[in-house]
Amino acid sequence: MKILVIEDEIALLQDIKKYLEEESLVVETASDFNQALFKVSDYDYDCIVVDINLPNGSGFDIIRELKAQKSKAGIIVISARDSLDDKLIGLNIGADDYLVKPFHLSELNARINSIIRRRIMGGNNTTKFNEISIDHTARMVNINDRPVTLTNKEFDMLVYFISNKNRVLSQMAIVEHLWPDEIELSDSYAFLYTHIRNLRKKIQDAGSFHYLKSVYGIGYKWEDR
Amino acid sequence: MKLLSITNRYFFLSLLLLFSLAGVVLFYAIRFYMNEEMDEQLNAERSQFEKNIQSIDSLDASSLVFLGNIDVEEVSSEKNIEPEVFDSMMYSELEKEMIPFRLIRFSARTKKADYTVLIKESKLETVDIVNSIFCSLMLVFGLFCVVLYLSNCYLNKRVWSPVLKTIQAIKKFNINDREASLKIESAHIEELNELNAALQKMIERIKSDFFQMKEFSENAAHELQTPLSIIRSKLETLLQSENLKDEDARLISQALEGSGRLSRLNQSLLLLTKIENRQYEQKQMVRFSAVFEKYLEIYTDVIAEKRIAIQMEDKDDFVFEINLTLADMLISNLLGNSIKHNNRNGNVRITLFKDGFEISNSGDAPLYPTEQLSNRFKKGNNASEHLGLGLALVKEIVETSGLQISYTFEDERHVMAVKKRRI
Repeated sequence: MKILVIEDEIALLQDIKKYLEEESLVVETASDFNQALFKVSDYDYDCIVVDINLPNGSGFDIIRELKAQKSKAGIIVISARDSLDDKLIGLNIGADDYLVKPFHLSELNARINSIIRRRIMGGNNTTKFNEISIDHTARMVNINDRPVTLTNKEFDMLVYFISNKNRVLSQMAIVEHLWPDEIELSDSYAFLYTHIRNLRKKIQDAGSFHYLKSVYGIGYKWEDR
Repeated sequence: MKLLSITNRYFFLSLLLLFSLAGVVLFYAIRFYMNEEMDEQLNAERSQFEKNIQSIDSLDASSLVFLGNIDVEEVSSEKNIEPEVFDSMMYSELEKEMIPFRLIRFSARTKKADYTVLIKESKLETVDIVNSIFCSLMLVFGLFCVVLYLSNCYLNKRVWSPVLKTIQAIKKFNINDREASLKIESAHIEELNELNAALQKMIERIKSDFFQMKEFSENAAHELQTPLSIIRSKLETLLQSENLKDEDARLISQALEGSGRLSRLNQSLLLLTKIENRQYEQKQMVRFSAVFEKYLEIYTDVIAEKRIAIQMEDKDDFVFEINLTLADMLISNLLGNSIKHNNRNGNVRITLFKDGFEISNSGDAPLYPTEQLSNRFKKGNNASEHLGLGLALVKEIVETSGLQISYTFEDERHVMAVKKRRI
């Protein structure tokens, strides 16, 4: 899978590149408008992550260029601007997703995964992780070929963990992913723990390995054996 | 108190003082001159009398009857008394009552006998004159007051009306309205025109500063997002490194939490400036029961975790024309607030009316007076993680959407009531 990340903030660009490369993705970068335009014109990518405010131009114009080329690449906009107008423009001209800065790298990764699955894999929108197989369209999970019933939150949580396997995920990143509106309401992440415990129990009851590890004082990690 | 009333009050007081002083002075002065006049007259009468009797032998009382105002008394020895003038009350046949008299007593001598003579003169006229002067003075004073009052009314209408118009214009002026300027008619009073010009200039400057400030805070909040995302991505990258000590990982995690709070705070600030900058103008009819249901659904997990009982009375529904995003923000913040500042096993009661809604929750008594509650950055004791920006947002939304909000704490419950604003 080949990804192009267009972002003028080099420090941020490096981290995104590093994080995605560790997911075995091929990552190209561009840090200004002209460079980005040159790259999208000359190469094909599976997914393009584009910032709106670029030196010498707007990320929106790059999306328009991609659409003019009838590119099949998935497009994720990352922007410090979170106004509804900007989001609507982005999505209307053909972006698949809009992520407001600051974001968690794990969040960006999960969204890239989701777009690649939807756009590239076509109808075969499934993920396999050892004995666990996830059907994203039907929102069904099979463990050892037997269906496991998960709640919506548990399902989303499982997908998020598997997208970011072998990563330490902070409680905040998980809560922001699953409960974006509730993060400010609770004094603690106690309700997160309830859901983690339920998910763990269901997976283990189905005979799966104990992948979901607690990282004391920080969060959780989905660790391959 | 109005400016005119204050000036009038001092004016009247000084006038009263002046008039009473003038009254007293006039009273004594007139009396003094009247007495003087009378004394002169009495003395003249005395000299005339003395002259008249020098050539006769003796006085016959009957011959004096015609004079009426002269009493004579024959004295045996030659006892000479100095002429003496004095006041006395005496019975007057004419008036049939006691009236004041001015009298002169002196010794007089005919060729053969000595007499003590008393000439009296009624002072009734003098008293009348003094009284009438005093009365006319009072009349003038009263007239003065009436004229002053009428002229004040006129002044108030004519001279002060441009000032009142200026005040009205300032009252109507809305700094949030980009197009608005202070419209003041020019008056024919020079100082007032100067004041108006100065006001206009000042308001223009305040307005431009105000909008620059708003743009600045919006831009600043925007600019903050990028360094915040760098901090976050660096910390997350650091968190993934292989040989990280547990203690270090925890420190990084805490820094990450802090950056998260900072960026949420920044987003709230950004929202606030956007609402203040009127960026949510598009309105539609919104059913608030639906908005409540939407957020009750979204908050299910936190509500369950805190074991909060929700009670919703929606026999009536509040339907209001408002920007949908603002309605969402209003309800999510109010509902969120009632969950956040609630006790475990507490409850939230939502009641919808035709012209508003009320949301109340159990919880500890507020630490701050109720009117301070929506001032930014006030917070309670145990919820140290949560800054009070939510209520500032609520206040701003309510104010820009034609609603009004009141907060009370009664029967151990926090009650937020939102209503249509009466215009």
